[in-house]
Amino acid sequence: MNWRAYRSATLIAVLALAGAASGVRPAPAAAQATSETAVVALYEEPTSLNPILGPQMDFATMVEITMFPNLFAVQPDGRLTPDLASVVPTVQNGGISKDGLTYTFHLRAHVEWSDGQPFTAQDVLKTYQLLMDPHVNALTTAGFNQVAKAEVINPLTIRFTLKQPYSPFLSTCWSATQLGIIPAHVFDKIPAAEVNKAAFNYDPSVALGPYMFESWKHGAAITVVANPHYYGKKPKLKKIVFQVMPDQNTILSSIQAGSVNLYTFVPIQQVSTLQSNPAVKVHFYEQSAWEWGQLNFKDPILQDRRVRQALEYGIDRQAIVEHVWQGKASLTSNTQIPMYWSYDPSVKPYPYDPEKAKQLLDAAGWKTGPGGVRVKDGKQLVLTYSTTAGNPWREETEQIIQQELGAVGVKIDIHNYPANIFFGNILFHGQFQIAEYEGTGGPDPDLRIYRADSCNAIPPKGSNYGSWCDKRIDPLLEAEEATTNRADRKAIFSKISKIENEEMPSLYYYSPKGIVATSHLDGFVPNGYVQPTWDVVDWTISAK
Amino acid sequence: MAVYIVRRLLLSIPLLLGITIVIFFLAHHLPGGPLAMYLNTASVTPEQLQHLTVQLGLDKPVPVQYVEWLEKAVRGDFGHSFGDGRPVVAVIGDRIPATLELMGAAFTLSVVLAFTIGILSALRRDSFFDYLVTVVSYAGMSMPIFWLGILVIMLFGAQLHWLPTAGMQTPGAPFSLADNLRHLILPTCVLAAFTLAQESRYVRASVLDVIGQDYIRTARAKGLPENVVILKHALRNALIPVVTVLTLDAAYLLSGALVTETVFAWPGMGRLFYDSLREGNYPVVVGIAVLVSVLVVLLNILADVLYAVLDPRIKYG
Repeated sequence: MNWRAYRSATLIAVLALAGAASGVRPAPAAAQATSETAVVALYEEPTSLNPILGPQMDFATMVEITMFPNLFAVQPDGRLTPDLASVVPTVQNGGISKDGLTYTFHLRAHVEWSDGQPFTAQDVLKTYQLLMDPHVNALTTAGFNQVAKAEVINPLTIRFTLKQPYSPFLSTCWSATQLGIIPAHVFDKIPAAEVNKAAFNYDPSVALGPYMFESWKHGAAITVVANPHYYGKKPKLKKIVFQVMPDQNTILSSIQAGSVNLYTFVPIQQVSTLQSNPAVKVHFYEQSAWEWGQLNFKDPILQDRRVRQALEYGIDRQAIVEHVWQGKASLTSNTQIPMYWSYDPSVKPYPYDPEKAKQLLDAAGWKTGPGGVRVKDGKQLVLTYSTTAGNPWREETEQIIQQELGAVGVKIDIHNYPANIFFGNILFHGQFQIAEYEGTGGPDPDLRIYRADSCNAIPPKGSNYGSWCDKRIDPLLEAEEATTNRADRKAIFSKISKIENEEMPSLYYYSPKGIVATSHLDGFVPNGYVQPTWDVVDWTISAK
Repeated sequence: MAVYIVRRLLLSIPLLLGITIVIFFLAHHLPGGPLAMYLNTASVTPEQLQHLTVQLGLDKPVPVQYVEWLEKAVRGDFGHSFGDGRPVVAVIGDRIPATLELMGAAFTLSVVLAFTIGILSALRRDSFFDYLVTVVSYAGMSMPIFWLGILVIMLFGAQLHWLPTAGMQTPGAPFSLADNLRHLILPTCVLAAFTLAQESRYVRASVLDVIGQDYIRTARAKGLPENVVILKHALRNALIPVVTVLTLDAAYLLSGALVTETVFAWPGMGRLFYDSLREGNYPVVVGIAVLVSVLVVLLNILADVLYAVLDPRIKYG
């Protein structure tokens, strides 16, 4: 064909494409999520859908919790309620023996897996056995390693006997915060050494929860559909699609366009855009997390308590809460945050007091040197500050901290790392001086403190990355684990809080509120102790 | 020519072998590693860590691991993903259709428009059209893809509701070609905009170069119609340097466009590579790197063959 025709043809084609694109309107039924389907945005893609395998991933738990419930559910106020168990064991009802060593779980009757097989105590036993098996890459063994004996009394009753009293046993091991029950009739056929690579992990063949697995289009989406065998309230939505969307700006546009119904972990910077959109609802809730700057006790500079306290006095945490977090965070003074029953309001956060910081540093022998940086024994007071790279609000707060500490004579060098290097190398091997990240915990305060402060949790044994070892803490932990009396435990937690607040093993910053955005999603209730998909049975999609 | 092609193919085998060695050693010395993600789990005991190390074969020295990998790779077994244990071939295979669809569309759009714009600009040098296109081209080359991508999503998706915001198809709905194509429009345009800008500049420069030649003047003097002059004589000679750019772009596109895939939540190979790199998922990282290396080597051979086809003066002995 001749040149002119070629040129005209191309021009027409381009115009036609533009016309087609502009003329296409979304057909209400097909293009958006139907009123029977909810779309949840997943910022990271899970590696497995097996509720007992590690590593711990919020987004994996979000999907698993719809398919694999646990013995107890956790309500937004932190109470445990029976789910697969028929009653919460207590000392009063005999479920927990008076010496705190024996736990008897009565299971709910007439519960079936999605293939019709009955749910029995064997499933609970298998879950425990696999978690403790050395071949299995267990998500956690905390609490399970306290079990001396596990026995099935009858198909609906199972009894655990502990080596010593451990009052957090129920919430740490058997609540819906991170683990679920796996099917014995599937895993009895799989040798323990093959569990990590079992096909069930990416193609779960049976489910116990309100939803069951339909498909996993890798890189794109995981789809679950309503489980007709579910024992509880029938879910109102037929399908939930967990769509992988690695860019938060894309999720932002999608929720505004109505093609995503639930957006979790919303960065504070996007809140005003979301709030200005009438179709989107933004939920703020207290969550079981706190932001802190871990201090490395292997470093001689930080072994001096006066230096640690000076750092805390030298940072205006209240201003960060107000300006970076728009007030949507609460100051912390130790690992117990205001939403916990163990919180002691008499242990107050340090005020912002740069003069006090300077006094403490002077007393510690750090005198003001050239350039405003303090000097002692010929050495400058320079500390490296690290956190996960690419986090917008941490980048903001880091610079504020750098400036404020600079004003009291401490030079801060910022070095950030990608998340897996930060957690895997930097924190784990103690290659830091100050490391900022978020600590999380379940409904029981014990685990939080143990992980953060215990002398037995120093790497490689645990996540006490700062290697802090204060001989007072572990005996106190043992004392509170030995009793189920809440008042007694609260008194002990107060003592621990006071020690943490005085010794300042970490810089306690604030507990940020959880931020979740929903679009055309009704029935959603935020819960600070479990993933936002905890109440999927109540979800409905409202019309556009 | 056939001999030439066979010789090039045979020579690429030691080349690829060398490449795999470099890739393998680089991947295994990445900081972080696959066990890093387990290390943040509070109660992973040292015994469990040791167990995982042995299970993943990471306790053996790297050269031994390489040899074991090579023995299986030549038989088509690229090992298993550290993440979920699925065969690497399946993991990569999952992403290939998405990658091919997006890259094919972007490459086609880019080439067609690049040639049209490039030739027109060359023929109408210094005209208003030429200046306009130059400005737009440079703007296109300078715009970061993620910025442009987010902008079009916000405009066409969130505000105008004309086009979908992300993904390959409507979540939860059964597959429909029309739905898929609607989702393809925005990422294709964004990806093509980037390569189109570059390619049209090359085409323009190359055509300008050729048009000034004597043989073009002779062809016109002989009375040949303009379209024959351009399409048969000028373009064929102008194509030679352009083919280099095109094959390089094809290789770039085939390795997956990470940023575009991230912004548009498109499940392609670019994102798979980045995620595997981040997680220290060595088998997948090595698998993708080897695949892309093979493609690049083959594309280079193709480029050389095309030169000989286009320019009879080039002969391979």
